[in-house]
Amino acid sequence: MKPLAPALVALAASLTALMLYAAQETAAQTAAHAPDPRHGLAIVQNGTEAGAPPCQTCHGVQGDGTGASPRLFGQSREYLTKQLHAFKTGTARQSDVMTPVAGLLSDDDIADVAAYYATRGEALPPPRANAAMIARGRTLATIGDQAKTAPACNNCHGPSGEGQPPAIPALAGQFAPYIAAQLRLWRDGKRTSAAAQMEMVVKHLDDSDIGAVAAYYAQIRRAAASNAAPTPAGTQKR
Amino acid sequence: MAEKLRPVDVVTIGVGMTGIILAKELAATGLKVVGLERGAMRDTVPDFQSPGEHDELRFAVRKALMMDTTRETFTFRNNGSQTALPLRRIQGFLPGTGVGGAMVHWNGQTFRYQVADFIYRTHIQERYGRNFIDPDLSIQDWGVTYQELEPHFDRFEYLCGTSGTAGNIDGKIQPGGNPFEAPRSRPYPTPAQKEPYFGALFRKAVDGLGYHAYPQPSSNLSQPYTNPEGLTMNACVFCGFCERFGCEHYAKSSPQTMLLPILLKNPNYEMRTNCQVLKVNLDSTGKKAVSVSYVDGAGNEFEQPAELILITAYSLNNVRLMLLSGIGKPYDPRTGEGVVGRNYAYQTSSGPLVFYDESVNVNPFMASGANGTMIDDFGGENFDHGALKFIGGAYIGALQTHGRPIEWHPTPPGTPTWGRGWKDAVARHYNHTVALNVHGTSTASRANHLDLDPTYKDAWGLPLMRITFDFPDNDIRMSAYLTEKAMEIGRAMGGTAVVGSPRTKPYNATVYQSTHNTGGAIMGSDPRTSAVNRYLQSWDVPNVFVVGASAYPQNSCYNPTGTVGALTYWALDAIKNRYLKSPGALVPA
Repeated sequence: MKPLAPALVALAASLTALMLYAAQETAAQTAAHAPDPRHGLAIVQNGTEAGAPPCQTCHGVQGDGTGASPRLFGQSREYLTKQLHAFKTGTARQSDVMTPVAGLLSDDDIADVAAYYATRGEALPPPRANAAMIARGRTLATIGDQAKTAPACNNCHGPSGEGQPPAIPALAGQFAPYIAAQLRLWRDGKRTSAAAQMEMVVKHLDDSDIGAVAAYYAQIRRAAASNAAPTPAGTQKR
Repeated sequence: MAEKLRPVDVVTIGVGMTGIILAKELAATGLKVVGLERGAMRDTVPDFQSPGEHDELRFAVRKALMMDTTRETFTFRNNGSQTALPLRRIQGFLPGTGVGGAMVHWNGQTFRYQVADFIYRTHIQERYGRNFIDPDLSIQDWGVTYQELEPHFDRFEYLCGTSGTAGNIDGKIQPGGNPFEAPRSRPYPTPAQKEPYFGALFRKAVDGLGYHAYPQPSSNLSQPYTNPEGLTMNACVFCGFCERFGCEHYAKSSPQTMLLPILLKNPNYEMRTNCQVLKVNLDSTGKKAVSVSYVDGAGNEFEQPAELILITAYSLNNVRLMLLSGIGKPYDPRTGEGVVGRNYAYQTSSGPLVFYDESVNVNPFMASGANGTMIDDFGGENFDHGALKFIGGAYIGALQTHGRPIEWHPTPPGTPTWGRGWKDAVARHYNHTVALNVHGTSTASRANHLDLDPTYKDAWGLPLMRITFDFPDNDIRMSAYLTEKAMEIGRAMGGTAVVGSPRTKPYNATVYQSTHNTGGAIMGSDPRTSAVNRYLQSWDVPNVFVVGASAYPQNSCYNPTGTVGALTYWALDAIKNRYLKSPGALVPA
């Protein structure tokens, strides 16, 4: 395994680069407030005085989700924060369910809920899926498809789709219908990102590709989720 | 005994950037075109995908994408009194191999040369007097002007989708761009990439010093782009794995991303990989090329007859093939006569480091191969050399291309070179150091040249090419002056220390400086001092064109790829619209 080690270190370093660009925005938003996961749990269980419903109704106390709603565990605090803000402003993501909910959360509420869910979760038993679909999904996820100019998903989403926190979400263990639905939103321009990374990747995939890649990621189980964001540069212990 | 193949119209020797551009256009006219490539086929998927592609040890240190030096290489010496030895490790420069050539592993730094660069000797003599140029320098005019090349620069940049901020559109200076750039006919196809933090630190300092900061033009794209060929590229994600690597994201312009898929669909085109070209064969008059001899991957030898032969390999290999084939008279440094091997030039660079305290987090890993902030105030002829006793210049910038863990570990002077002390210093400075780049002109001199080595041979028994090179004294004086300018900028950047030194002699081929090997088959208007005419056509064998940086009479202070692209389209225009209609010499010798 030794020759692989530098490659993995390098991969991590390079993806961190991408993340930090994205993380700058959320860092600015939460700078004044120290995220409080206990207050986050209170919102998850009871909702807010402003009228936001409890998150657990759809996402569960542990962030397991239902399939119609995504699983949240394994995602970084930064990623969850960014998504809630995206729903709240309605610019990069719109949802008839989440946009009103996020609109009732203050910036501090968002930080607290994100901090809570970022520490939650454990793997559930994998779903059953079609072997041929999984094989096609694995090819797209790990190798890509030159004919469709689609690079491998894992280039950014990390080995086995475990994510590259803080910016890039985990896909491993996510519900297949949810992944597929999001990919279609990217493809149809209803979910957007600054540099159009996902829009470009998904553009050439057809519905069967999308179903395959979703099925592949849904059945991956990671040994242990590491949710820790990288230590801010310059503060490492030596 | 070589098997003689059915004749075709055109052969390109080398399937990299120049070979692919020419083949694509010529095959589209209906000509049968064969591309011969010594290396293997590779493509974005599956060859450049992560995590394999991010193996720094394999690609950056062990140079997996480069020429196989167990089969062929170059020999090197600093001057004619030394015995050259073969370069068996690729260190000083990075000759690529395989489909796409060196443009697969380039950094994407995409410049145009200046108006004065193309009329260099004339310009210098007119501005500073006839005796200003050191007598050992053999700088020349190119035989083509910037104005003639402008549409071809434009076409190449729009093929690549190059990201940048225009500084001069049709003579009108543009805000935010390089006010010194040669006038362009329209903006870059895509806006400049985001400015990294080290670029912002540099910008603040040079603004204070009254210089003109601008973003480095990059062919790692800032946004998705569909080029005129109909191919779409993606936006760069700043992964910091450009030079020495292929791009996994379809975000770096390369033959694979910007043109090859179109070419491969044309039934008039056939690509043959793992085919090592040995020689271009001439007829009995020596004035016409009739075929190309090559050996395939199984060791079988073939002779491929063709009407038009395009030498489109890496610049050094272009020159070697001319020497091996007897196309043009070899250059003799003692007499100054002969043309093939003449005016080999390089790049004269230095790299001061600005060290910061731990409050400044540079995050150098968040990079692309051509994403920084720079100034052109001291580029080429942008400043007056009258009192300075040298010609040439340099661009200066904070242009870090990566923070890869094996290669990037700046430490200040006095740091132990191993052990705990070294490790502590690496950890202390990794994220708190900015490298500056002083990217200087390389003038041509009488002594620096390329010829066939008298001793060493390749795996097919053919002589290796010998590089004889050292920095001309003029360039050493240039580097001293401009490295000091960069140190002044470094001191204005607010660091705790600035460390650097100008380039010194002798040139060391075991330390990477750049892969800007130019000249040896230079273009010009006089067959006594150039190997190819202004259309890159051999003076001696008119059905051979030699396309690449081998045509540069000397090297400018800018990275050469943009100008190679412009020259390729310029040559293509001459071949398509003039040569094919009436084959023969386009310029009377």
